[in-house]
Amino acid sequence: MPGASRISRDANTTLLMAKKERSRQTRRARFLLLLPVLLVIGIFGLFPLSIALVYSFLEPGTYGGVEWVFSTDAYVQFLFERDIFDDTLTFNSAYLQIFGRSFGLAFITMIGTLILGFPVAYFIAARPPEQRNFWLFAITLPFWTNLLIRTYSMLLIVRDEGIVNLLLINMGIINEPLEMLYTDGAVLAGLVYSYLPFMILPIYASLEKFDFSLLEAGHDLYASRVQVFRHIIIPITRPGIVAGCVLVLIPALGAFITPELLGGGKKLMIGNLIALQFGAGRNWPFGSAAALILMALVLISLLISLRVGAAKEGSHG
Amino acid sequence: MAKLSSLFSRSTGSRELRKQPLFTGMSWLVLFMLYAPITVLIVFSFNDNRSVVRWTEFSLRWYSAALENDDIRDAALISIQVAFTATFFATIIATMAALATTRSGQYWGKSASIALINQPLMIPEIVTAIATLSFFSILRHITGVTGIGWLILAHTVFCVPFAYMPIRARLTDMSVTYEAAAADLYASPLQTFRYVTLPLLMPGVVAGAMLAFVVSLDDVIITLLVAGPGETTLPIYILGQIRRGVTPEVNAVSTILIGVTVIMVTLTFFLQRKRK
Amino acid sequence: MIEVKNVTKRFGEGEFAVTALGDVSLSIPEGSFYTLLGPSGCGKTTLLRLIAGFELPTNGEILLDGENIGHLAPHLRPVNTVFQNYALFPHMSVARNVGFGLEMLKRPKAEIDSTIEEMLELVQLGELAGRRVDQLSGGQQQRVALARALAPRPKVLLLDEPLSALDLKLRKGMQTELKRLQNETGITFVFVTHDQGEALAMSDHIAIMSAGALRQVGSPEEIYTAPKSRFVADFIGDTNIVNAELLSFEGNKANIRFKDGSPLLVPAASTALKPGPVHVALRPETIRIVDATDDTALLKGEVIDSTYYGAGSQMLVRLDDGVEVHAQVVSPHILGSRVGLECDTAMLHVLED
Repeated sequence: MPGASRISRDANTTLLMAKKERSRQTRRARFLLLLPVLLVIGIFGLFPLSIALVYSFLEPGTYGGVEWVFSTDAYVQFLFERDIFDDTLTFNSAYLQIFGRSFGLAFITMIGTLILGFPVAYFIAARPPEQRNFWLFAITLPFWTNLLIRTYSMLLIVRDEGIVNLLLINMGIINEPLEMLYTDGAVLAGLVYSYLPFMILPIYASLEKFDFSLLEAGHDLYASRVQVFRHIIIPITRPGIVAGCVLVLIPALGAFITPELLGGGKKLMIGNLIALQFGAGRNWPFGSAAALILMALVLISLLISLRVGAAKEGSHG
Repeated sequence: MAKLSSLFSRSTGSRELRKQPLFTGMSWLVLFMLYAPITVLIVFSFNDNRSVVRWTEFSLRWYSAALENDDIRDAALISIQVAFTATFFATIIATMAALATTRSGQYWGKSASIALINQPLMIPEIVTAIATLSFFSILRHITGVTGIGWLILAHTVFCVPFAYMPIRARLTDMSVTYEAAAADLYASPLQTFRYVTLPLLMPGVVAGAMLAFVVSLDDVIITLLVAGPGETTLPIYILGQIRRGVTPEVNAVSTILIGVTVIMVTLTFFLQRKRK
Repeated sequence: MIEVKNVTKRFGEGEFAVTALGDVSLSIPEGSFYTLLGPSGCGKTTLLRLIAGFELPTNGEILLDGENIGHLAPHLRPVNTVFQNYALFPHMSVARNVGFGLEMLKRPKAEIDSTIEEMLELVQLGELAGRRVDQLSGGQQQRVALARALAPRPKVLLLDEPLSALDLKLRKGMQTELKRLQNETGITFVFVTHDQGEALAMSDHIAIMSAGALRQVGSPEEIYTAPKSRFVADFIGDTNIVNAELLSFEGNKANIRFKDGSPLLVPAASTALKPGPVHVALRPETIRIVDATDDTALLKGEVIDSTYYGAGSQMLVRLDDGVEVHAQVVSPHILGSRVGLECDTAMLHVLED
């Protein structure tokens, strides 16, 4: 019936055209909606990083800023010190020490938040649903307050005239105030204080849907408490633990305020070093280089964490 | 079977099994530790005595001193100005981005776009700060334009992901049937957006705006490096004061800032409670 | 009048493609109450969505009064839908919900207001105009959804299992309501359900579907008394399917024979069947139980179960060839006794499969 098939061919063409038009409109709308964010973050968020890269290969300007002269001095300066008179290079470990301390502190912070945070995450997940929201809110609220103020309040507590010392002296436990401020310990305490919620939330998320009756099943099969923990709870929380570690490690590596206030300029971390170069240090290229090395460390940590997360999953199959 | 296993484990009943005994105690301890320092700060802001540890009597003198302090007033004004403007733009941008990336199936560039939107969160703030400073110094030089606009721009960038999250969450939860019903009832796509999608999305948008506002208000590192002279925000002022030594006015100002944050975050929390 | 012509709908690509509708064609007469009936996954909801415009067909046409609407966006079709979960706008009052369609069509305010009033009266919710949607009960929400869909006076009203969320009593009430509304407004109703009782009670026409294909279309009586296939016979009402032998055709009636029985002339679904074993549909309420020795008995068997339900009894009889048959009788028979089953030959129906 040629007449009928002609009609249906027309109809199918209309259909096809309508579908094409619809997807065209969708794509156009989507593009327009995304344009502002792509422009704003692309140009002013992502692109500046390449500027920093370029700057790290330039020479410092006299009053800050840069001179547009190519030089690898910034990177050399990281490891070596150039003698002013005879231009020889001697190995200088100062900056390496700063990076080392940063990494060490960040790593210990990660462990510290894990030890303190895991029980809290578990505890919240084990609460009845109505209580959970309260706990989550209570745990995250401090996170939203100003980091500067939070760190400052830590300062109030650990300084020589601070609460802790006051209590200890009044209770007669010690005579002289403990020097807690401006130590690595103070910085560590500050970092843990700042980033604890970042560890708690991902671990909680991995436990949120956990069926606690699995624990009964474990016990029913003669597993001890410890074994249940090891073989049931840990595997379930692994993704949360990995996520939490990443969420703590990365900001901790780049911390600035905490070491500034609680380390008092003696216990420099990478963040302070970088900021210094853009302030009184007047060495923007070196600051940029340090920032890029920090980025590299961050990326490496991310990659390692991805590996750890994936590898363990495979071995449990 | 059950009886035998209860011989081996020390407690029975699932309620008991949930608790790892140490964990409960630790949780309360952690909660205490999280709030103790801030509480100390708040408490002593009401202390009449200049000393930040010896309690004399309740007094609001530091608050009145803070409110009369011109520097503090100026800094607060600048903070609010920057926060409002950055929030305004960031929220619009984030809303558009959320509409394009949520409930829309897979398409080319979607994951990349979402990664880009979240990019400010993935880089240590100090790195963003110096990169922005470097870039802006070039731009300032080239265009000759100075002023607070650059600071607002820098704030807008990192505010976007914070506004984006609650909006996206709200959009994900929104059933597509409402928009289908609107279309069924002769609403064009634009009308559907205006009369159905946007009103239903509003709580998420407001929550996102408030988060962005808080984050902008509280920013230190980026502001420290990018702000020009005369663009001192409240946190920068506080930082300056702290570097000089502990003063009670700082306690008062800090407490006010905490108060603002707490109020806004609590409101956000309530706005985001799941509706049917 | 809606015409669905050779409509196919596929979801997904390549090897993961799912065919929800395979070359379906039907005609919906104007002003009728037309039901799409079938188990879940049969494609009835997909077809409804294609008529509404929420999906585009992969192939085929959909015509409304001769015009091709299959490619149009939903807001361009004079078709309105009552959704399964009502989808009432939570941020608008009842009145604004009902008037939404007219508001979008930019009708004058006076017209909108009077229509809202009229519609709410029609569904008997006049006093609730100012209420917020979440303050209403399920049944009330349902009626608001109806009013909202009727307000713009569409040519066709689509109803996607609208009664499934209601409890039994409300359901029965709403069934009557819907029928009344359809009669009063004269609008074509296309009703989707999986409940065959509902379909039989309300429809002018029923289209039974399964697995993306149309199985049978007809009036409720036709479908019930003359099912074409085992699927339809099974799906509608309680039916028994017994074995018989097809001997020949006389005109459009089939000459069949039950085991050890004499030839009978009965209606058949298809004259294309070959002589040999066939299936015959036999409704429980048409069966009379007689003595096994009676020569009016068409089938013989043993009573294996009997359930008394007040107005009568439901008996389960196992025939000689093992098939179990339900019979609805007034007075029960003793378990274990051997009985004969007899019914009017016009009530039998040879199925096509």
